[in-house]
Amino acid sequence: MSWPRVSLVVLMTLVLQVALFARFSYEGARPDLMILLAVMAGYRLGPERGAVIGFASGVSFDIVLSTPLGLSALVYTIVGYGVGVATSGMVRTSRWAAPAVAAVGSAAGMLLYALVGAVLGEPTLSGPSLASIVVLVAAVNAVLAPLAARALSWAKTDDRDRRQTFFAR
Amino acid sequence: MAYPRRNSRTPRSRFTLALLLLTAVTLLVLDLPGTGPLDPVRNAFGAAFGPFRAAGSAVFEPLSNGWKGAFGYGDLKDENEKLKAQAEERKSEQADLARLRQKVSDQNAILGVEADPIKTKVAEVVSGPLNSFEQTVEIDAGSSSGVKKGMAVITGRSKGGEGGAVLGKVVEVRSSSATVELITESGVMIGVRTQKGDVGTATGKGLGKPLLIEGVDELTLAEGDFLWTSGIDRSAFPGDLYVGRVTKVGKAVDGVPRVVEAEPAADLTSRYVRVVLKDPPK
Repeated sequence: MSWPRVSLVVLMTLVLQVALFARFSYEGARPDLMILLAVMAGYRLGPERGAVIGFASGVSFDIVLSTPLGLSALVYTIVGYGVGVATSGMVRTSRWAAPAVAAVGSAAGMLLYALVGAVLGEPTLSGPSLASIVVLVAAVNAVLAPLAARALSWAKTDDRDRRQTFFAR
Repeated sequence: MAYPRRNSRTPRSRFTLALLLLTAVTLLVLDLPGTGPLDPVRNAFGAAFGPFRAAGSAVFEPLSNGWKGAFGYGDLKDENEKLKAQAEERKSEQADLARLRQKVSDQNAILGVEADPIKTKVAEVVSGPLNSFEQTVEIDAGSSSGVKKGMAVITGRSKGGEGGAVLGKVVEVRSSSATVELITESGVMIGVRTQKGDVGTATGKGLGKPLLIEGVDELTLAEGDFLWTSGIDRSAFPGDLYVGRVTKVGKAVDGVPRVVEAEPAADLTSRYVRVVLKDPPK
């Protein structure tokens, strides 16, 4: 695993989210590429790396958002780990597997974000309809899933260190 | 070759997860409102990303305009019709307002009262919300222009036509940019005054939803009444700024107060706004 490459992927995704995708909204709902990165990391690289990349993408997004610092990091870490666990025994023969996982994982992530945000007193349930957010984010992320998977494959240069944990390296 | 991946849910990976979750919760606690030890870090990164937001705004604006045109045409058409009707109504109201302003000015001259004009700083909205759960906009004026946290932000014109209307308040300030929380965000509360002179509060209930009006005498209110900022109680909002119009006055049931709602007058998609350079209450 090349962590400089992972950092570059996270940074480029953040730039794309901030400069391009955040400008498009439907009924107030906006795409969320950062959660796509967490979901695809969990799917492609397993629970541990899914959690680490989910945390990195979440905390970097938190820095530019006005919501509490750590909210996205908390949710995306759980999503990255959860997707990794849920798909660990999955046979990946179908070309539709990655988009399906991206859609379901992103939808679950948005629901979790709204729920955790509401618990923390944020107005996450009073803005645009949660249904429209979930549908839009799931649809956009399903379409972009192959690109995210490719970017993560590029970042994963060496498979030998898969047995080593992030903190043991 | 396709193969099922081995289960990597080891105690070590659970330890990693626990460590990351603990870090995230620590960040949340450190970023609690009123504490702010991480504000400098956030502001530095926010400032670093400012150019990307501005560049995105400049480069992709035609694309996003096309998107809005494609998916918001029906809404725009309805709004256009509504605005035409309101514009006709406002013409007579503007005349009344001009007459009243002249009267106040004449009386002030007689009494020797000098009212300072409100100082404002014009700013451009460089970026909107970055995800579905955010209700803030980024403006290109910051502390170097005298902008402070808590200051009021008004639009150049209201949805009805002329005259500024309350858009929101500044929640974060960097050297050359600031984040503005919209008036519609849940929990944002401002003091308002009705046409009859009653004073109360307007509270945001979420984007696209009306403001909740409380504390006023509902019996004196009617749908269509104008609401202005009250400008009292050490408010960051100067008085007499246009807030919106009453859209609903509910029926009183068994002593429960009537629900009063108002539509904000500000065009929340305004490109140019004005920051009211009045020091926020301490």
